[in-house]
Amino acid sequence: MSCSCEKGSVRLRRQLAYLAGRAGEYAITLLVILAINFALPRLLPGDSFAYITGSTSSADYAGALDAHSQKVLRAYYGLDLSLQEQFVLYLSQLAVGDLGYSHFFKVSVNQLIAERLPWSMLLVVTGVFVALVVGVALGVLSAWRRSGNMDRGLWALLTALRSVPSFFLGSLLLLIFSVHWNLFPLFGARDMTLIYPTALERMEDILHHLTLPALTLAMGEVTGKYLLTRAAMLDTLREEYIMFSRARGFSDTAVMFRHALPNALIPVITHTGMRLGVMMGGMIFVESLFGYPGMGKLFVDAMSARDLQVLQSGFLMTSVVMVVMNLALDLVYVRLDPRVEVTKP
Amino acid sequence: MLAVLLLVLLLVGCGQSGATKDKKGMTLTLAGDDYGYPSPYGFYPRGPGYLRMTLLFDTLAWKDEKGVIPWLAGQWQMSADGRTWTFDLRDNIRWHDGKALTAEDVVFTYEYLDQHPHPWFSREVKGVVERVEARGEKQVVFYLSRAYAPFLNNIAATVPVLPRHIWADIVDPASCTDTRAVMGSGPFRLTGYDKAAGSYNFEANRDYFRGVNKVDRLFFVKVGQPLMALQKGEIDGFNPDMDQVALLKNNSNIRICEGNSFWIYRLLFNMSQDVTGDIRFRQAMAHALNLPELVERAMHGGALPGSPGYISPELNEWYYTGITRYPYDPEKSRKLLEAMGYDRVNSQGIRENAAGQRLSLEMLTFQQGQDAEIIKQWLLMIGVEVRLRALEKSAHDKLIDSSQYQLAINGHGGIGGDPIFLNQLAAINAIPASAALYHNPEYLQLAEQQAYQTNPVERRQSLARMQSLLAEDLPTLPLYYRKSYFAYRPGKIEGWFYTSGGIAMGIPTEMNKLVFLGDGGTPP
Repeated sequence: MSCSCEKGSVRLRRQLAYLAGRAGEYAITLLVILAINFALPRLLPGDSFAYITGSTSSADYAGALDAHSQKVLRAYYGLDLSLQEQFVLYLSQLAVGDLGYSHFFKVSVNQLIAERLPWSMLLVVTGVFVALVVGVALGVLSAWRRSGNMDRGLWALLTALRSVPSFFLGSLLLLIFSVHWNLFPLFGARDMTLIYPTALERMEDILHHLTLPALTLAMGEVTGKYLLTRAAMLDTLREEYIMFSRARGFSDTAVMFRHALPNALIPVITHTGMRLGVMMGGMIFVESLFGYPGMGKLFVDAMSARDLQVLQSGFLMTSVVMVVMNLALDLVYVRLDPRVEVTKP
Repeated sequence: MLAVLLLVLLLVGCGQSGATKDKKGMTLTLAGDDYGYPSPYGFYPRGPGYLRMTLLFDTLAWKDEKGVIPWLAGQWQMSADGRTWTFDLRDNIRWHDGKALTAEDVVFTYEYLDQHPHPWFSREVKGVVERVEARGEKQVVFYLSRAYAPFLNNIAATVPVLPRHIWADIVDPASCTDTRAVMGSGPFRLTGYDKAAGSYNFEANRDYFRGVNKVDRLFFVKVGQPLMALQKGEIDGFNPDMDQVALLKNNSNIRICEGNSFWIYRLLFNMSQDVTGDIRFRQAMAHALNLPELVERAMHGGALPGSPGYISPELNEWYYTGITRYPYDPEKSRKLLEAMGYDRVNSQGIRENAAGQRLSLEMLTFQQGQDAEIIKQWLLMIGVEVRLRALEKSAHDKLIDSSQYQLAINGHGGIGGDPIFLNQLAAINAIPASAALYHNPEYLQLAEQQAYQTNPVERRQSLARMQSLLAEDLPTLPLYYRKSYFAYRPGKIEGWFYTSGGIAMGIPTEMNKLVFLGDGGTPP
């Protein structure tokens, strides 16, 4: 008994040391990222002040802003500071969680993100969740019935789905479910023209608006998860311990979901984590197609307006999400793969 | 995690207003996007942002289909020297909170502008308006540093009047999103704004001095697919592109009105370089491009061919017809290039001079349409090789602003309203000053002169000469002027129109607040 406690404590210490080491690496990565995030928007050609005042060669309003007004406005937006001063300001603001003030949108970046991030998160989390559940379930089913009609049918269907551009899929969903059958709204995350008397009605409205965008996002992701699950399951099902489990008389369901799936899930989870960055692109498209209020459109607008504060915050957020996802994957591996615990940091 | 997100989103915007389903009266929903908080300092420097603000605030003068009309001021007089303008305010104009709008509010507006520079309004006001004085409650006198021809259009019909009793306390107007900052005198009150969703909710101001508002509630919503939304009846109007116009034309439930967009697509020559600085080369380019065909092929007819005098025929008050024209004549182009010394054609069809230099130029463009490819093919036919360099719009603008180009294609608005915009083509008050800009002493002098000519006949003469010089010297070659369209469901609101020269300083739109007013904006 005491021996097993001791082993458990050693194991815990090793895990903590491992995680501390990984966290340290990520902290250094984050610091490098901060400097790059600051530099990147400033390396872009284009002048953010020209966009604040609408004074580019493509401005819709010709006319020169006098020198005094320019000076006052530059000072107001902090654009009269040197690069070093801007960097110090950026770091000091960041230290207290302040992402700065958006030149173009005229509000704090924290507010801009707080208004949009929940919508984007809702969209992405729902899309990933649906893709993961459906992709894994179909992958398991396909592997279990390999070379059968269901396997061939699912493989053909999902591979075909992958070759259809998301733009076409989304538009098709809109045409069928929104225009033709009138089942779902055409745009937005909620009806902005109405007040709902109860939270339940409001939630129903939000879910109603979420269905088609999340489905479009999920349909673009499901094939990858299906193919990976299927391949991983096929490999796992050939393992000796699976044959042993069958020989011990476990039911098919138990062998599939309790013995084979946990091992097969590791590459699928890695894939999901790695795909998050790519999904940002898909998110921009889905937000644009469905008029969904999210981070994607914000960054597209900030890019064309050269809004430095929003851009650097966007880069920072993407980096943080990637770092956090990698860290989360490491944590999941520790849980899923017993071999990870003996690996020193 | 999903449950937590839903909870957060349920709380977000709980305080925002909309309308309950059973509200009576007319609701109009138009497609839109986020253009900033619609306060005079909060809107983004874009036309639609300004227009949303004008639903809440008024100006001394306004514009309709024909031109400038009296608005807050019922009448005005200009002194003989053009330096003093006297405005008489109408009676019974009230702010949304019921307080009376007086001459003191107008005076305060210009004092406030002086202390808080505005990205748009200060361009016109600074250096022009010396002081503003109230004479009693109903009369305001503007003293200008010099006569200023665009005063009525670009200042009186553009700058919104601010309520002194509210704005006197606003110290940071750009970031102020207080509900008081949108309390104006206009035909609507703001009842909701969601930056993330790009939506605006307006309700009619029942006490508006210009009479009853036909629309009780006006919504702007961000729509991903406005064509579908209009056909389905979820919105009442949007601005379609040419392809969408073609799809909607046969729909009997939809009407389309066509107007000017005051948006120009033009070829820029870097005037400081050897080849592009040579007038013969620029003339050769002008003869090599078949502009009516370009309009048909690239814009499916949704534009007017460019005029070498820059001003669009849409701005008919100032457009001059007597300028030099360059009909499509590739043979003439070839002769002009030969006269420049490019009289040999190599095996690839590219012209070379005696020194063996190829007539090969880089042309900046931004990713839009097939125009640049068509132009490239036409120029190849006369032996000019064009290497297209397509850039994202901001990067493209930066290279143009810093004169780092040989040839460039640019597209922009800002050619409506007062023709003071012609001065931007020359190195006068240009932002930024550029060596690639036009340097003709006579043009520069005319540009200075037209700004202060308050006599329309004299000013028209100056502008005619400026257009003639532009057409002769071709510092830029206008390719076409894009048209604007508005598709709407008839029945709710009729009488949509395009404002003469565009609203205020030239914003092209069908959404003039006059269309919402019961009497079409006729003074009571």
